[in-house]
Amino acid sequence: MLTELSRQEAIKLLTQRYPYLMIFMVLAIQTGNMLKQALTPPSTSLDIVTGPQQWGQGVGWGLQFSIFLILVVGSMAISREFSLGTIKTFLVLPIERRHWVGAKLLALVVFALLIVLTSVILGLLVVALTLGWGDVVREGVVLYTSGQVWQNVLLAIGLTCLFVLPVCALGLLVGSYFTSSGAAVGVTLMLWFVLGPVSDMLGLGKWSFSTYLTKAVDVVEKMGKGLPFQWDALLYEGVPVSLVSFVVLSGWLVIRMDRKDITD
Amino acid sequence: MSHPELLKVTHLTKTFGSFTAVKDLSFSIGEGEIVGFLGQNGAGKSTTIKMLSRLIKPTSGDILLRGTSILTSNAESRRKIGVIVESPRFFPHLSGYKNLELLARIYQLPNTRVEELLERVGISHAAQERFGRYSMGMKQRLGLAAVLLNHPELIILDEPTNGLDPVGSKQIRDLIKDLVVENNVSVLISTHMLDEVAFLCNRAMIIHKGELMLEHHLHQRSDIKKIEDTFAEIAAKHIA
Repeated sequence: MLTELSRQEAIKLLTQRYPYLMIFMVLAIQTGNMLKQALTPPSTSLDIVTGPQQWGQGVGWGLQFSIFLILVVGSMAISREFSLGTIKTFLVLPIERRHWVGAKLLALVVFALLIVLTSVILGLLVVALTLGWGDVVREGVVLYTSGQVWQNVLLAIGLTCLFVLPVCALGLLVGSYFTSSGAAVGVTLMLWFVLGPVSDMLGLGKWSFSTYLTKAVDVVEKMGKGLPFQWDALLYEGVPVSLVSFVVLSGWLVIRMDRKDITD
Repeated sequence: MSHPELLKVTHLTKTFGSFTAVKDLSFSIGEGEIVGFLGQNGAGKSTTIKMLSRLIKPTSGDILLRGTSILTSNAESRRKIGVIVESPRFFPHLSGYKNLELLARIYQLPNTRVEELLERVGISHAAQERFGRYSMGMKQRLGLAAVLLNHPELIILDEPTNGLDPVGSKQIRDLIKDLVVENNVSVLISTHMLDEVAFLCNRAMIIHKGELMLEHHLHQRSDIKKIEDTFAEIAAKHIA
């Protein structure tokens, strides 16, 4: 039943216009930014915004925009069902609410992974077409070979795919509190922007999954510039924090939807 | 004529904070019965319908379908109930056919069932049109097709002719009456229209301020008169 419901949810998601509109917007912005960077001449001889070192930055853009896209689509997935009233059509069927929510989450995660990969591939392609592939070189010295760069880029993509799990759950959870898609998207984005700074202010930054999501992108960007980076915090803290956040947020979502009276 | 019991509602109560929307409501519906659930706006009809559909959890009481509680057992126990809550809601960007197909997949039914029902409710010509472009009457017809998909034993319709013009209302009522006979189902119709009850139902219940005020079989014209009088009495009290 869960598989069938997930398939239904994927159909619902992919037959609506808004995900495509957002993907188009994100990719247009991403491509524009990449081309702008690639076509900007270096201001100094030490400027690293030249040459094939841009791999990392290309991936970075892809990941950053993908996260926003997933958050927006996630927050609309449930709130749109409320605003259209279709939630009443589906929840009166002989299906458990937790299965319905689980199917939505699964469909969104698959969608999110596709978006991350599509966006990253586009970022890499833009870089390849404008700057070409190669080692990270600074002042004639090879800082990282292309093999090392690839290894790290793939690790960053893998981690980002893992870190988007709580992003999907957060989007759906916030969406479940609103019957208007616009309000859900607004509040989700606002929450996203304050999540990191507030966690840091309270000294809880280490426990916020958003911290690691940003770091994964930073690491990839730094890699393009040949700056030092390390994976330790991401691997040993980011992975468990994201997994725990995913379990907590999705559990909260399931319990909330299970107990919620659908009155509107 | 007595009907074997299909649905039994016992001491159903729903409170929202300090407000009691439905209070200690008990009734039953027999096989093949068409029961009108009358009440003014805010009487508690929709809350009751939503509890029967499990969209709202009752504060207390139970709902039994063939002796099994639909509140405590798994979702499968609701397989034989078809519900339209308020007006039929589907995805506006999908065709009528596609919307119905989404539901059919959940019931693991073949597409031929979708085609059969679209034909039966008279909208097969518009099957590929987007739901968002349907008229109110077509939406109601698609809603009726949706509730009949899984060969239900009980269908619950919440104000099925709401928003329709007199001609459209008559067409939908005729269609409901025909479908009920063809599919041998029991029906609970929530409405505030007496003529709808008189035309369709063989029993009527009146709810007021969340409480059951009257339950009456409709065999002849004088029975309708009794319902009318009670309804008028409630309306007068309400105004006073």
